[in-house]
Amino acid sequence: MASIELRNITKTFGKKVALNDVSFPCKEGEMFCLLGASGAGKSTSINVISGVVKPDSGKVLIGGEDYSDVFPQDRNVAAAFENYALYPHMTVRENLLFPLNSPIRKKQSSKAEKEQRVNEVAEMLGISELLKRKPQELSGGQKQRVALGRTLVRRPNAFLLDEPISHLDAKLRHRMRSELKRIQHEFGVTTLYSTPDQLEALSMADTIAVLKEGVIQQIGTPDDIYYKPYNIYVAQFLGDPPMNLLPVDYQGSFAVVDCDSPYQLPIPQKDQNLLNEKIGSCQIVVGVRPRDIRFVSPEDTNALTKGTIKIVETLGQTTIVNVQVASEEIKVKTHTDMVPKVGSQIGMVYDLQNFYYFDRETSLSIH
Amino acid sequence: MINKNIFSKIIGWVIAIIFLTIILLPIIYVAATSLKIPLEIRTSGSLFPQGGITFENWVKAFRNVPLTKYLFNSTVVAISSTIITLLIAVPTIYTVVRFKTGGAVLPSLILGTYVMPPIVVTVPIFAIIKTLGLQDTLVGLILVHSMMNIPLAFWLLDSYIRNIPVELEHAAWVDGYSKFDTLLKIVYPLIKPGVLSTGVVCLIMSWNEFLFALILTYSDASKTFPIGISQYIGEHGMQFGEMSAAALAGIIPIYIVVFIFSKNLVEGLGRSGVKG
Repeated sequence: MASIELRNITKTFGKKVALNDVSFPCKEGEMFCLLGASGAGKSTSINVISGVVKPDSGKVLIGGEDYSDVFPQDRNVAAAFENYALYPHMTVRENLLFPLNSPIRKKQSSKAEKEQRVNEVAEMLGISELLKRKPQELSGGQKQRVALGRTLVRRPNAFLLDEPISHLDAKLRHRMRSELKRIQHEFGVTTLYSTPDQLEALSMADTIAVLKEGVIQQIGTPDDIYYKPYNIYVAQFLGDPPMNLLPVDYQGSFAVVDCDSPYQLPIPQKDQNLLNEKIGSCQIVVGVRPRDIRFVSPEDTNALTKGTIKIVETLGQTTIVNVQVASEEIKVKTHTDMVPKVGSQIGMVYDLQNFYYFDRETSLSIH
Repeated sequence: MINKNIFSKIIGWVIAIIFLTIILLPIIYVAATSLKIPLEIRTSGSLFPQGGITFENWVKAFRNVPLTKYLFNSTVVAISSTIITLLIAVPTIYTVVRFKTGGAVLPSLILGTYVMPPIVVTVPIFAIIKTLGLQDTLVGLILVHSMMNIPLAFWLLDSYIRNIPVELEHAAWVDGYSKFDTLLKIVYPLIKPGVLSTGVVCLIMSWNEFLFALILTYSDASKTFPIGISQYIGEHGMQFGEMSAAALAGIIPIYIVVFIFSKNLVEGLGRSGVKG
């Protein structure tokens, strides 16, 4: 077990910059998540740590020591790849034994110990009955568990899991999420995993790093990332559906929303102080999460604005409603039993305490 | 529906038979000729023996010319050169494909030597082999044949290696294996069908090779089968019967090899066709 750190890693593939000056520390025993859309540089980061990809510049530190020039086989990290990368000519048992039989670990334990280790891991992952099968005889979920098993059979410095559960069906994914968390707790090994799914990141990670096009946007705890997004990208990436962004003209106690039919948003006193102090221009963006908007009758005097219901997506208990307000569409997350009809007029109240503010030019958060 | 099926099957068979006839006719002719009485070969034009069957040609073929020795030489040269070719070609193509060794230059150079007519290099090769003191030895011919087949093996193996997901190799590295161990433990088992079929093709190429064998070997100790065959053309004319018997004796071993590996061979050549 060891800490992992990337320092100023830059990597280009041809003309494409995969990682641009990426640095992050991953503490010993921590569950660290790389969150980002596809092409953000998650896999490349993981491959740089495992040594499979050589960065153009920057350093990789494992346990505080510089491992930049160490071969992958000598880094003692265990990796599960996005496409599982199970050896097709070997049975599941042989796949699991493969890391234990590598030249550097061959003599560390006896044959019986290795077998026992494989059986333990197989038991834990529920793949004991599959040990004699070949990878092509397994379902996607089973393959994924074998790939995980192959990382778990040894005691590495760190686990590197590249989208470890993203290809599973929803039910299995839900189960594996808690399973992974439990395994990580049990082993206490530094774990670095990547995912494009914000829910996976928020539910499993101790620390999240949000990546966009090879650049780190923000590093922090799930709460930090969710409640104190550093910029508009992070704010929109976390939360489902994404945060509504309203361009406004800030005028002291209220702000005027910049749209076809401008309406006023009252700004709470504590936010006024903050804005007066921090902003240079009055042109800012107010972010409102869909769950912080409430429907009222259009005649209600509390209603800040009115709109027409456009689209209704029911997701069991909750429902996502798209409301047309002048030329803008605003997403609202509400209880299913409170949903008005499509096409009807509706009034909306925003939860003023949960506003987010961003600089319109730099898209950085104002806090 | 059933009728249509039978009809298409018949068509298939007819086409197959026509093809087989075209391909097999010369071999049938050779086989038949080897069993004819020598006089009949010169006088009768019929395909099959009219005046009875005789093994006289076979006996003479092996008695008048050291055919067994030539076949033995050919076997040694073909097997040794194939092994050398594969030992060099597999790691080379692997590093070229995966680690871009030699950039764009090395692969095109290797393929360049493949398209060049071999006759162009006969003189320099003869000079090199002579300098090395290897003229008229099996070793000399083995070296030349293995070098000659490397571009071919290189080309045939290329798609096999490209078809392996690179993550498998990465996984092996991370699992604690060096690049060379990965080649042995992961890559080789996965391209084994390709290596086998490439080996068979190299074996055939070496077995049939005439030009270099002709200029590099001149004593019975090192002559190979294709050179031996030409010895039935003597001062007293061509010994058609003996030559046919000898030719057949030379074809049979390679046919057996191809038959044993036929499944691999068809699969292998087919796959390298659709370069993935």
